Amino acid sequence: MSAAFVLVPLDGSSFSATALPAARRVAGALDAEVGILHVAEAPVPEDLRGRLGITPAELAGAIVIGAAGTPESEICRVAVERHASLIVMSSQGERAAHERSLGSTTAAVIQASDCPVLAVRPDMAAPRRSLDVISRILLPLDGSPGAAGAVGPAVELARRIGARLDLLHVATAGAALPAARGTMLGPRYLDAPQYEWPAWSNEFLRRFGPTAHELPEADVRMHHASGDPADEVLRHAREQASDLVAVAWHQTLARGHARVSGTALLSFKRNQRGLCLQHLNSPLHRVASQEELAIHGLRVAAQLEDQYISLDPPTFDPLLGRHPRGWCRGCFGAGKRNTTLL
Amino acid sequence: MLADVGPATADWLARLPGFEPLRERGIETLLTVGNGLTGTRGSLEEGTRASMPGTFLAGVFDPARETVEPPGHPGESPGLVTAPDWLRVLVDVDGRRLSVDDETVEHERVLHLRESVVRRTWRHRDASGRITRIVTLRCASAAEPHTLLQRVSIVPENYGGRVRLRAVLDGSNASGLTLEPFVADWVTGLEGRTATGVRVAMAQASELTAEDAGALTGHDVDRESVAVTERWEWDAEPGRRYDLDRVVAIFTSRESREPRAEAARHASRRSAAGTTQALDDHRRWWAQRWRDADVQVRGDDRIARALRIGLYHLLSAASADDEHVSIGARALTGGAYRGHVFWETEIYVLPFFVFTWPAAARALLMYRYHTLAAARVKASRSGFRGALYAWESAGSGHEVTPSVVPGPDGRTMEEIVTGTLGHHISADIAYAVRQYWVVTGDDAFFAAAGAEIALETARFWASRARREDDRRFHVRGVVGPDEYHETVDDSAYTNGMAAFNLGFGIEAAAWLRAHAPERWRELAPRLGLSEDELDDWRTVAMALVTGHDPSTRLIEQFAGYLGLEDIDLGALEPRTAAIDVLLGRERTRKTQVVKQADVVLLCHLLADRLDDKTVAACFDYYEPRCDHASSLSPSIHALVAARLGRADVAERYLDRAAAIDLDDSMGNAALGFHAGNAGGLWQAVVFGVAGVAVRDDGLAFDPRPLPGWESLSFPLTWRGRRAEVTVAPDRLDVQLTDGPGAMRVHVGSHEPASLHPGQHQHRTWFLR
Repeated sequence: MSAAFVLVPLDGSSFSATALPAARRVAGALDAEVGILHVAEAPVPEDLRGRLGITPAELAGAIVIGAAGTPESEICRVAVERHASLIVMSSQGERAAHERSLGSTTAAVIQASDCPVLAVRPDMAAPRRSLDVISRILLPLDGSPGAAGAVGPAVELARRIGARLDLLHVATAGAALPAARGTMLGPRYLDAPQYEWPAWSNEFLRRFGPTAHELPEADVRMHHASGDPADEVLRHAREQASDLVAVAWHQTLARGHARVSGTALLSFKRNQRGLCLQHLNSPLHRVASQEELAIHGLRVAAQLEDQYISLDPPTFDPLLGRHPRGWCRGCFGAGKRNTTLL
Repeated sequence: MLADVGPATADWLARLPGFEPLRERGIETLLTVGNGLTGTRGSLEEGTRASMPGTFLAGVFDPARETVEPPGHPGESPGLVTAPDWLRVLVDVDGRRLSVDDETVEHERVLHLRESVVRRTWRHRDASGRITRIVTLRCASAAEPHTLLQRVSIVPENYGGRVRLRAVLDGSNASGLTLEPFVADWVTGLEGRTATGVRVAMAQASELTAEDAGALTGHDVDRESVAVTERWEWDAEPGRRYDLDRVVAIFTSRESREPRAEAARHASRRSAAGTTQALDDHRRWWAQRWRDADVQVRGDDRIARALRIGLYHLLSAASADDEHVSIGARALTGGAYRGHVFWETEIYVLPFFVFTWPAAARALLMYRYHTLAAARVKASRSGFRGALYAWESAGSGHEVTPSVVPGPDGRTMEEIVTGTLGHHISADIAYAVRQYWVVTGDDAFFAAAGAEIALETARFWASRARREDDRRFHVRGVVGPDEYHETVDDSAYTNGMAAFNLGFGIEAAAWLRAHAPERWRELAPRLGLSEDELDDWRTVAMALVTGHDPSTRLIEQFAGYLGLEDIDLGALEPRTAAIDVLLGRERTRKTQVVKQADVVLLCHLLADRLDDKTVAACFDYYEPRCDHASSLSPSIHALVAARLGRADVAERYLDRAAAIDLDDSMGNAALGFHAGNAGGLWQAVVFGVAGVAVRDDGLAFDPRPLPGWESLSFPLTWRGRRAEVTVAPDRLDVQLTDGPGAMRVHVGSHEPASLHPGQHQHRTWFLR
């Protein structure tokens, strides 16, 4: 297997350069190479390095790639060509800086990319220094197998970086129950809470925690909240001082039914937290709850005071640089949306 | 040799095709095999990362020493020990262990409900394309509960190769036991000891035979610290079948002075004699039990299935021979609730046994008799007289409810009050005693044990209630079935059942005087019972606050309930969790949201004291306010709805009850089958749909056939007689199949009919 590869598109603005420290941090954890991509109108300029808007020190050790064409398609093309584990980019470019919208290039990459995307907020107070530490990752799960698709990469990243993983389940009124087989519902608080709580937490971790993914022990904590999922994710991210939030989703920003559209991604504020959106286009994960997950993921994206978005593809493990067979390994049988055991 | 399962129709099979790690622990629960003494979850033989194997032994708790001082943290409370995994069999082909994580051509587990055998078919293909077919069978002998049987058949379908087979008694997942392996002649085993000295011994004796070639001799034994393995290795021929027949014997120091020696002897003897007889006896036992218990619903396959699987687990959980154990909330199918026994055993589970297997019902009630001393201690320590049963009971009957609970993050500690305020359990047990006594006519039990329970629990209520300025008696500071509201005054359920209990105490005293005067002469002075005290009971029963408002016919669930905030549960739908999780504990208790059937349950239990309009008014009020956050709720709503003739509502709740274990709709099936729900389903159908009630001279029926149900058939046992009942849309059939004499049958306004064994044993009533 060739070395893992992390792709950072830079357009020369200080905004786009905010992605670089994050890319280096994650690449370091993955033992990955960092490739910096600059897309320009044809022809590809000769002085690529000078157009990146970063210092020679920041460039050290990275590969620089030039391409000509439309940025989003070139970014995705190079990512495929280089078998990128991850694309790291700012959530918006300079033009969109004063609008409350996700940058159009970032939005397009998020939707088109076959590999995960880590979006970095450009307007951080001290961006480059602040990204050196990712010590806590918050992973909201709704108890559906689809949402659990985010667990494997998040655990792996947590392990490699030495971060703590906070699993968060949010009980919700006004949300339909996920219909996928294997979904685990919210707990019953007072039905003998002396047993139900620990039992529920244990089973939740058995289904969705590291051991379910054949991963070694990690520092995992279980949290539970009730209320609006987006609000609760935000609250927990603050309370737990999460550096990164991983939310499963299905890679579509512009759904009419979403209560928050992709434009809301702009409202990231300040720094030191990240958002990882895991998309779920795998047939195994094509479940009813994805819509809800997407909605809540976007709402979180809209409001989180964080800086990363990552979209994980269904067929490729971003962190291990291989197909994530282990995620659904050993899972076979009737794949109907019927939840009946018998 | 363990013969294969017999033929079975689909309605007697629970099929689980494939393998889904997320649901595996719930499936293991469903596939539990048990025999009252043991319960073994349906884990895969070779184990997977999703597996949670467990064999539980009735009455074996750790720590076994219970004290009068209740535990604090749940971890300090006694819990069922997990015995070593006796199902573990590992197959290696040319050095590679076969696993369901590899490519699987075919995989299915089938629980054969009629004979209580789990059969697994697995065809495994390795990277080289070699296909190995493996069929396994397992059962926990019901006729001989110390015997567990397993067979593993291996066929290399398209190759010849080196096969290694390991049969392991594996203690790596055991808990609560310090284990030591032993080898005695050709038997190997593990002996475990709890911290307080209870011993558990498991011994295995196995034989490996090749099809048409006899036994393969020469296996090796590996002893490890917590496992003992019998290992065979041979060159397997293509297409030939190899059968491992394995007997595992299990004995504990609860029933044996030398469990290790006895287990070794038993395994050796049983293996040498062959398992055919043991299996035949096992099948006969189950045939008899099903004959007396099976419920058939034609026209609703889902409810039929839920009932059959539910009754299978209830029958697997009980023992007619052991008076010192009861059935925990999840029986022996999982570790939930640490195996503790709650009120639902008497109110939800016991009626099924009373009417289908009275000997088991008697043993369950004798457990309460043997724990009466601890109930007296609890009453006394709480400042009351008589007997106050433990809210959670394990071996001794001392209170084992933890007093605090860690929150979901493992840190927050919250106070648990059921152990100190859940007093209705005493009346629930008294209720069950009377039900058993009236239905079976077992006067010997009542004289020897039941009456004392009735008297001591009645005495508790007389001391518990206090007369206040309004001249009424009040019971303040309790928690009723609706545990969303703790520390309430005059819980209608509690007071209603207390009044019943007081009346039953008076009835027990009168009966003893009239029918067992010697026993009365011994008991009355020992308990210090006087006429004055019996008069006091009468006074208290008459003046207890009931919460009933004659003008609205509504029974207020507890004092002040109707003044609480009334929130619209429907407006919060759909939702992904119980209301108290969404609103929080504090906020929920300030609302009228009810956790589970409370007054509605009272309407069922005391149906003969409440008029139809009161029941209807209560159901109409409480049903929309109920969260059903307990598995004990939907079945009782189905029952009462059926009695009220609300067929659509009854069907909805039957379906909801069925979903609890069939669909894991509460998300907590992994840690065990909901025994109370299974018993509740049986009651919903028998008491609700068929309208069975007990009379002094026989049984009464008041059917409320459900639309779409072609027929509902079930047997009932009444005072040694066995009747078969069928409810069809237009008629009711009752047939007395055997018994010592006549039985009267009351149907609506019809003249009661007498059925006699032999002639005139069958009668049909046409319904409207």
